[in-house]
Amino acid sequence: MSEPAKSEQAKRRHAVKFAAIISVVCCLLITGASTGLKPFQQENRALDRQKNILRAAGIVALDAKPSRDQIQSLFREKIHEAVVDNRGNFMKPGEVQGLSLYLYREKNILKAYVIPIESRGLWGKIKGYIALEPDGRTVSGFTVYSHSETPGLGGEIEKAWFQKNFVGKKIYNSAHEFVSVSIARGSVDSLPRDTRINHVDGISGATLTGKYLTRGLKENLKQYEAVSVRLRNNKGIIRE
Amino acid sequence: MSEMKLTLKETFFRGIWKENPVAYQVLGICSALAVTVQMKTAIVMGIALTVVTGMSNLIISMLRKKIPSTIRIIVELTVIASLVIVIDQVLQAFLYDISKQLSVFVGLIITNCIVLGRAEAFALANDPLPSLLDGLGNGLGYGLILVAVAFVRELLGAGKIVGFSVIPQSWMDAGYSHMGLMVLAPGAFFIIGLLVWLKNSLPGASREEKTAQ
Amino acid sequence: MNPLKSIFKKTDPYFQSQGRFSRFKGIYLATRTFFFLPSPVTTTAPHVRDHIDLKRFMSFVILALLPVTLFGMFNVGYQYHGGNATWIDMFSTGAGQVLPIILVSYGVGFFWEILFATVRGHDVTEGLLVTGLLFPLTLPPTIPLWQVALGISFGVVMGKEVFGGTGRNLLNPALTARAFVFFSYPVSMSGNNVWQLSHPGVDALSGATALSLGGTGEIIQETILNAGFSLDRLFFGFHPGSIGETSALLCFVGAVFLMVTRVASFRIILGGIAGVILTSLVFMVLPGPKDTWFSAGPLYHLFSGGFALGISFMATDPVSAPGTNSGRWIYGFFIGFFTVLLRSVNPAYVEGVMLSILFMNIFSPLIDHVTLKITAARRIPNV
Repeated sequence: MSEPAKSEQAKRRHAVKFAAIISVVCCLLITGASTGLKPFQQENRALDRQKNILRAAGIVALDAKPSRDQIQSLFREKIHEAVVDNRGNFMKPGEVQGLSLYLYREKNILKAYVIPIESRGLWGKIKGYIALEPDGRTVSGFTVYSHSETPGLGGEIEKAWFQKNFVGKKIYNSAHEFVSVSIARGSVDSLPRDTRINHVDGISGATLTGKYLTRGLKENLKQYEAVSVRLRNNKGIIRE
Repeated sequence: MSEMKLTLKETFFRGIWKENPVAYQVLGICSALAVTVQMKTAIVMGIALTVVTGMSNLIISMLRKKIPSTIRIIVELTVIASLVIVIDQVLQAFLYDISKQLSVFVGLIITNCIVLGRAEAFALANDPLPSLLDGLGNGLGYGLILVAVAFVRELLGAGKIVGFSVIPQSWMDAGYSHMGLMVLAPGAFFIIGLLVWLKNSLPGASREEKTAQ
Repeated sequence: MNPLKSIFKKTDPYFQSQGRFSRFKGIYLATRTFFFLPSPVTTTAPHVRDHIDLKRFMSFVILALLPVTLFGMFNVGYQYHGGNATWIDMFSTGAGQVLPIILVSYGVGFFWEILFATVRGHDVTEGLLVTGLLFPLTLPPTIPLWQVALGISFGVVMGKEVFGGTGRNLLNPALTARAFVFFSYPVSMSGNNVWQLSHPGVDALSGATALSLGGTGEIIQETILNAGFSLDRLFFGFHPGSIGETSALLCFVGAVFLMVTRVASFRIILGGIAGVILTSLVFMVLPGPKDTWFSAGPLYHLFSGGFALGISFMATDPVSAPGTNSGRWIYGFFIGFFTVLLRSVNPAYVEGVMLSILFMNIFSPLIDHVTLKITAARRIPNV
């Protein structure tokens, strides 16, 4: 009776030993790959973000594919990261928790400021950037870099044709009230003339995506309203 | 060893056509729906899966005499998962745009039945070299279907082949428009179904030497 | 002897199983039965249990569809001219737009039908006579003809032939075709201005359909009324929409004809109407948005969009509907329920009829299975 029991025990010991070895080897493999490749991955992610900020600011065309060096040099030269509190005061980056935004300067003159957008979509989060001109009311660009909308319907928000429509739209209506910019249902031509400037063409078959994105844009822009007001009063000049 | 002795060539080509994992065994359908909107992602996914099946079959076949049968599946999964994570990391580092489009589906290779299926059904009972070939063959068979499906979907759905527009502007002006269904997941279902139909009705479908070329 | 008959008599041997052209027997039979009564009665599904066979069955459906089709043509012209033209003008404009769509649908459909019949060696079946007419009626009049051709190809091949042909299909082929066009070319199918021909001179009635309204903050009934869609206009059909769907009146006339001749199951049609009425009443009472179709009420839901056309002619397709009587009530009711549900709470698809019928098509074998099980369990066992 003791003979099979012994081999049973030996088997178990073998299994544990084997499992331990496999785990250690696999751990080493994964850790090695992960740490070894981390710098590349971080650079990729930063680059992707920078590219989208440049696109939103209108420095790079929406459908252009700039090289890595171009992105980095353009970003370093023209974009400045900034942090504001909820009353629109600029603070030193990293000092306090605040709203981050990116300033696009050309020869020390503010050309646009880029606001990160995070909105609910139909199936998941929509992330992107919206850029406003220094007058604090005109949109100068919009990009989406991450979403999970239905391809061909809501997914069209990542396409250049949709994003181009944002350029030149106002977040203020004719009565000088903040209304944000909305996605129309269908073409903007079907809307009353005076509200067309606050709307962009909708995507056919993607009413819900438009609805959520409209709401998300409004919420995000509202948070940065203090900055926009300040800019408007100062004629496009900000003191940090 | 339950399977009949096959030549190395047969081992390799069997997975590509005759016992194709997607069209014959109907495995890996989920990812075949998800990553076949564009050929670029389909090709990368096919290569990634081929590397994983090949390597996992090779490793498991080499270890097959040592693996305790009680923890067999866990060991297989550990090996596969490690390989997949490494591949995912490599893609994120060097093919960032594509890895963004593939999103979770690279990670989900772990749960792809083809990989574990080949490890269980073949690698555990065969020598390293045939196992490697079997893994590569099945991976390539999967990739082949993916690329075929993606070709149709990208061509009809976006008018492109590997990202290059092939539909002349004059067609678009004449009223042509892209087939939106092809961009949605059901489009892939129809294409895969039609491919299986085509495969089954081809006269030489049962003879791998003839059709594999 | 009738000269036509003698031609058929003479050529008949060539098409029999030993004949030279036995491959084309399907085409031959289809041509012959087009003129004369076929000799054998129904041998494959759908098993119409009556003295009439599948062909006569289908011709009743065509007959019921004729008023709808003719009115559809007229209405397309009516919308184009904004109502300011003679009846003849309006009808001929509409016919000029609609007839090519129907012809393409029949032509391409028969091409596939004959191809499969020839390859598989079975008879050309008559189902296509109905499918080929129903499909165009569900389309907007501005649909490009090539999309009609692709749609009917998809409907016939993927909706019917892959399952083995008429009588074996899970889904209604006409709706499968429409679903294909709907998802493939959403711009041609769900835009606001696709429902009517544009006329440069006349600033006619708005091109939108009643179902795309809502969400303005006003009470929905007022929004619909203000847009010019009074209940009687919706009922009689003088408004933009798919070719055959606008006139609820004529669709229901067709439905009554089919119910009286027992071609369509009255259980499905009445069940569907009950489903719409009950669901929309419940939604009206529930606290929900008052400015969307959620609280539009039963009459608007019954008379707008494609519900009347769908429940009368597509839900009653005997192949894809359940075969048991109680199953038919359930099936019809749920079509009505899902139609209202989709219209009310999923504004991404303003028209829910197509999707609800296709959805219930898939469930009809299950409904049959369950109702049969229940009936069998209830039966007093023979002792």
